[in-house]
Order: sequence, then structure tokens, then C-alpha cells
Amino acid sequence: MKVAVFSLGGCEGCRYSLVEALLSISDLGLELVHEPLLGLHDESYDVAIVEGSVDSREDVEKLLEIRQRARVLVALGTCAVLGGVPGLAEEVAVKCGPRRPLRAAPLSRYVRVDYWVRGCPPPREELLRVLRWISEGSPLKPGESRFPYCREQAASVPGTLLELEAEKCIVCGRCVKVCEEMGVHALGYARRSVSIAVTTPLEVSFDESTCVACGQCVLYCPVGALREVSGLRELLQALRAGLVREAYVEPEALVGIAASLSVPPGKALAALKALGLRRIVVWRPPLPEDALIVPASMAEYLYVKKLYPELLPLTAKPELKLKHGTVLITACLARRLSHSPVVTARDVFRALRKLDVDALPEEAPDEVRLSHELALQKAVGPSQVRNVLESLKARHGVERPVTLYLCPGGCLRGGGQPYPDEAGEEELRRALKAVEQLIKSTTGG
Amino acid sequence: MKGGLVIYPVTRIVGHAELRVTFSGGVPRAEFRVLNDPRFFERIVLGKDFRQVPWIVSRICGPCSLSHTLCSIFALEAAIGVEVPEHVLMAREAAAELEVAENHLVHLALLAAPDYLGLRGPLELARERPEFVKRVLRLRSALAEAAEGLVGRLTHPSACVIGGFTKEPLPERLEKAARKLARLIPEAEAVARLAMELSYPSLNVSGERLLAVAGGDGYSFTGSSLLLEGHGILKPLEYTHVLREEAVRHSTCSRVTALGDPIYVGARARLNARGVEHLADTARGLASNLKLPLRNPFDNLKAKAIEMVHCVERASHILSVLADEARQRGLKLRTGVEARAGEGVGVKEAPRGVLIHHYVVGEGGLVEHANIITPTTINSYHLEKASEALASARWGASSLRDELARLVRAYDPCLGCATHAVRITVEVV
Repeated sequence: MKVAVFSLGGCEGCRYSLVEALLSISDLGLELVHEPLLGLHDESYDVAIVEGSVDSREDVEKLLEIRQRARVLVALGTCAVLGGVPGLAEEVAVKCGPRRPLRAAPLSRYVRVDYWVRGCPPPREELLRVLRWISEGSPLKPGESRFPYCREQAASVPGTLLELEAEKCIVCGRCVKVCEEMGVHALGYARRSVSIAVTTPLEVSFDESTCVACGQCVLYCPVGALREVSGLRELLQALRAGLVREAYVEPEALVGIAASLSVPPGKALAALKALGLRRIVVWRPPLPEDALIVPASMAEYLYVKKLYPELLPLTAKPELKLKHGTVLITACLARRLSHSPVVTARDVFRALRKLDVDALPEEAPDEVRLSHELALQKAVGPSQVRNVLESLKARHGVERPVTLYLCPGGCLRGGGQPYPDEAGEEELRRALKAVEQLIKSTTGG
Repeated sequence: MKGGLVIYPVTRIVGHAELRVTFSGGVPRAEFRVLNDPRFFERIVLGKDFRQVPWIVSRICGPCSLSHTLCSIFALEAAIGVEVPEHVLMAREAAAELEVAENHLVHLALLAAPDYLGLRGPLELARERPEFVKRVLRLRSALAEAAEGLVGRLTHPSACVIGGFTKEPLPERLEKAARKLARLIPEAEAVARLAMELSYPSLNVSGERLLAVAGGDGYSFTGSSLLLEGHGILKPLEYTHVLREEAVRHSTCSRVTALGDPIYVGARARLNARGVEHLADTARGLASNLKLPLRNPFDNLKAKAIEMVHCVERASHILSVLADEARQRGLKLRTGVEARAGEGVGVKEAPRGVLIHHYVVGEGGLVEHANIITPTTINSYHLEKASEALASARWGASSLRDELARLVRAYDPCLGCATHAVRITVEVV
């Protein structure tokens, strides 16, 4: 792929301090074809890296042309991403030499931006990471470069599932991007320049926004500014008081926990017992059967309700109350809205990782109860879900019942799973096999 | 002689620019059209607390951000009447030298050298002479690493504040950086030798005046006054008497003249002003065959090469002195700062020449007036005059286009600096 680097208004410190990184991108299978600082001028390219804020009409014209030619557009550095220090200017001249100035703005005010590289100037690893994503065709990955010091989370604003702590936010934009990819658009930027903040549109609460509680943003946040309001404390109190004795664990949640602890699932079960649980059932909540659209969780239900309200009458509502003394351990953040009592795999993992899990003996589940696979078609991931709903809305195609799974990659990458920096794809696959094995041996075939 | 020549874009410089030379009636006229966007820094800082200013004005220019940070600090310390301890001055001088060395190195080795080696750019240079480029990058990362120990990072430094530094570097780290730089002096010399052997057309600009920072210790980059050729020593505040800044139609960068004449600043001006006797040993050896004053604008490349070696040597020396002091007595790198009203001008030798920051701080510490003059702004009128001289001497030569582009590069213009602000009628949009 051919890479071009451009500068709009700015100090050019990003390109300057990253010269060495730019000289090395051939290692990623990329070819640098346009970078005036290095005397390169080719105007045909696939990837455009643009530094600087949009400060003049001439910049707007240039940027629109770049967007037209480039398949992928990367905003490089704080000015391109947020408007930067020039964005602080409240007044600008009408005309200045050959240029017609504008109030400095980030690239995204005028064009679609595909990737952001933050910093003033950005660290070299950030640029190279984004270029690697582009070169390998792999999308933004959840939890990549999550900072280790933010694993411990403060709790909690009761009454909501998510909270956003502005003080911690580095405006890296990963949550905004993933929310956009989910098709939800509940997160965006407010204000300008150094006072810019990530927030819901008009800064309403998550409940009032288009947020569907899929929890993907939590997985992508590298600093723990966006997080799930933890239910861990309540669970531990209930366990201590003997109010909860039995856990229902979703197989996907067990995979997530075992993979993150890097132990076989049998040890993860033993660890759960060490927390004080007496009985553990591997269980998948049954789905409602009596509707055309079957949401796998409350997230898909809210997705239909908020974005396709005309399809709501065709949609089943997932809701379940568990019997007294049990808790559901789920891979799905949105189940916290529809089921009770419930705790996410992420929360449970936080409690378990303090134990010396390796030293525990492996245990089998006390029972395995998986609901029968429904003969439904499935839509997994945001784009499939969108396609199904669009075609239902247009009323073409055969109307057969369909189950919606919104999270990309399904429940294995559900919004309630432990932070993915604990478990890569490889560990997750291995854990999935082990859990399947465990289920098979427990059910005797 | 008739016709014209447009070089657009001029590449391997920091920024967007075009050089346009036209002939009419046998008289050449050059326009250096800076096309970077104006960014109105002098307005942005108005009404801001004076402590915020260094971090804001640093963003005028990435490559010489440390210079803007330090120069604004000098001006604001003068304005509010802060005296900083000796160690602060030493550490600042060392940091300034690291920045000059890094800027010169990148310019000489990656941006300018390919011109003279018959190569099209640094990528080709990396293919043809991988060892040379590796050596350059090794030296660059050593300079950046040494600067990190002192000021946090080289581009937009985080540890420089009014009153000193926010952190005290560890003696081991200073020592390690000093040793590493000392080891790399031969490498720097090898890069410099390349520049010393370049050949280029002879050229001079009539009526030019040198402007440089005077005072300071030996061949240094910080100082207390200005030297203007044909006029003498000026107190910083007196720059307003002799320098005139006006907007031009063809460029987003204003034109600066001294008493009507073009001024030159930068490595050549510094070497002419300070002479060779205060240079560090290796650098002095390199300069032994030079005849001062250097009158050819292209000689800026040689002066840069000499300064680059000097800076590596001297920064290494200062760092080791600081390390000793830190072990024996502990460093004093911070003094208290209180808001007070006042006016101050800071002058500093940025890599590309004299940089002037001027602020008025009002009661309560809010900035009431700001004026910044950058080296590239000063040099661009001189560059136009030099281009005219070169065009008239070499008109019709097929190599003129290349030679003009090389001339622009010899000045190492930095156009982010040049267009930090423009003084024209401002209307609220």
C-alpha cells in the first residue's frame, strides 16, 4: 500500500519527530510515496496521513481532495485530531497574504476520518500501531495498549450501567470509533481544542442517549475512564451474608474468565467455589421463541427500540428473574438490564485474579444445562444486524425468525468480558476448546 | 533577460513554500511565498495566565519547540523579575545545544546532503549509504535521549517552566548521557566533514547586516543582548527601535528589515559574530581552514556543521559538570515564581537564528501584549535578496532551478515559525 503524508496548519512537529518512524514503514509492507520533507511527491496513494488542523479555505480544498484520493485517512497529532493549540484562537484574520484563514478545526469537521493518532507529538509506537492495523487489514482491536495501572476501577454511580470519568479521559477516540462501528453513535466529541471532551450527544445521560449498553466502549478504553459500574461489591457482600449460594455461568463467560486467568476452565470453577459459591451450573439463558426478531440480550432489544422503533412490535423482550439465592455470571453487559441478580465475567475476574488460582484443583460443573439450539437464523456483529433490520424494515426477503447478536465476534467478545489485554485471540480459542471439552465430559457425551 | 521561474513546492524544508523569480527590464525580483497557514499565536496568549504561555508558544514550531519554550520563559522571567539559579542557566544552555545539534544534524544529513551527493532524497540516501544514515539516526536518538533527561522530551518539552525545571535529573542519567555524547563526537565529526567538503556557487548579498545574540558564556546560544552589524549592541527591549516588521501580499510571513537593510541570522551569523576561538576543540579543528567572515549564504551549511559538532561536545561537557554538581552539592533547579506586572523581552539563538519573544504581563499575571519574531521571518527577506543575486549571476544556466532550491534549503527555513502570526487587520469571523 502506498502512503502519503500531508501537512495542513501546524508546527509540523509530528512529522518532524516521526521522520525515523516514517523511514521505517517499509518493514510493515507499506511504501512511502509522498512526504515533502523527504522530497517525495507522488500523488497516487492509498493511505493519507494528515497532520495539522484545518486553518484556511485552502486547507479545506486540499483536505477534500486528499479524502477523495485516499482509501484510508489517518489524522496525525492533536491538531488534526482535536484542533490543537491553534484551535484556541477565537478570532482570525479575513485575509492573510495568499491564504484565507478560518478558525482552526480538526479534520473531522470537514471529512470522514478513519484512524486517529493522538499526542503532541504522538509517540512513535502509536503511529506504527495504526499503520500496522491498516497494513494487515485488521480493525481496531479491543483493549490494545490498555494501560496496566487502570485495571483497578473506582466505583460507582448507582442507577446506570456505564460511567465516564472525564478526568481520566485522554480523548483517544477509540470508544467513539467503536460506538460508530456498532452503528449506535452514542458517543462523540463536545467543545473544541483543549477543552474537548468525549461525551454523549448534548451530554445527556447514557440512559437517555442512543446507548444500548453493549459495553464495547469499555473494552476499548485504554485508561479506564469509561467503565461499567461494578456489581462486585454487592456480590461479595451477598456471598458473605450467605444470600447467594449458587451461580449460573454462561459458557462464554467461563471461556473469558479461564482465558484471562490463563488456567483450564476446571480451575476457574474451583476459584468460583473459593469465593463462596456452593453450586455452579453451566447454563445459557433461554431465548424467547415467540417473535420474529429475537434479541440475544437487552442490547439488541434497545438497538431495535432506539434505532428501528417501527420494528419493536415484532421484537421479543428478553427478561428473566432467577430464583432466590442464585446469581448469573454473564459475558454480556446488557444482561445486567434484563436479568437479576447478575454479575459480569469482568467483575468476577477482578475478584478471582487475587486468588492463587493455579494452586487449586480442577473441578467439574455441578450441572450443565444448555437450552436447545433454536432453528433460527443468526445475525452476528453490527453489520449483519443492521442488514437484517434494514431488510425487515423494507419488508423484502423471507421473514423468518432471526436472533441478533450485536457484539462483533459474538458473546466471546461480549461487552461484559474481562479486558482483552488479559487474553488474546489465541488464549481465547484455547479456552473455548477446553470449555467445550469440559461440557462434553460432564454431560457424558 | 526576460522570463520567470517558479519552484513549487520547495521540498525537504519544514513547511510549504514557493520561490518565484521574475525578470523584467534586466532586474530580477524574487518572492519567497510562504504558504503555511497563519495561526495567530500572539492573539491566543492574550488574556492567558503567564504560566501557560511557554506551553502554548511551544506549538509555534515542532522542530525548534524548545527554543520557543525557553525564549518565552526568558521574556516572562524578565517581565516579572525572576532570577534563576546558576544550575538552571547551565541546564538550559545544555538543552539549547542539544536542540541545535539535533536540528542541524537532520537538516545537514537528511534534508540538504542529498542535493550535493546527486541523490533525490533521504530514502535514496538510506539505500545508497545505509551506514551513513544509521550513524545519523544513532546520533539523533542519543541527542533526543540526552534532552529527555533534562527537559522531558525534545519536541514540545514538558519539564521547562518559568523559574526553572519541574524535575531534577538523576546524576547517573546525566553522566550516562554525557558519556554517550562524548563517544559520539567522532560520528558527529564524520557527518560534519561531509558538509565541509560541499561545493556550491559563490554568492553574496550586498548591504546585508548580521543579527545575533550577544553575551552569554563563550560560544553559547543563550545571551542577554543583541548584536546588529553596523549598529552595535542592543538591549533586548531596544529591538523595536531598529527592526521593522511589515505584512506582504505574496506571503503569510511578514518582512523584517533592520534600518531598511536585509538581515541574516543563523549559524553563519553566529559564527561570524562569535568567531572560532570559543568553539569546543573538535569543532575548532574543523573550522581551522575557514576564512571569517563567511559572506556566502551557502556557507551557512558549513557553519551548521561546525556548530553541530560544537554543540555535541559542549552539551556533553555541561552535562558532566551538572552530574558532578548533582553528586557533590545537589542541583538547584527551581525558584519560586509570583505573578507581577511588567514588560520583558527574551532573546535566544534558535537553531535557525535569533528568536525574540516580547510580553507585557498585567496585574494578576494575565498577558496583555505579545510579539514574537522568528529567525525564518527575519531571514526570508534576505533569502529573496540572495535568490535575486543568484538568478542574476546564473540566469540561463540549466542548473539554476536546482541551485535556487538548494539556496532555499541552505537557509533551512522553518515555516511553522514564520507564520505563527501576522499583523494585519483582524476581524472577528
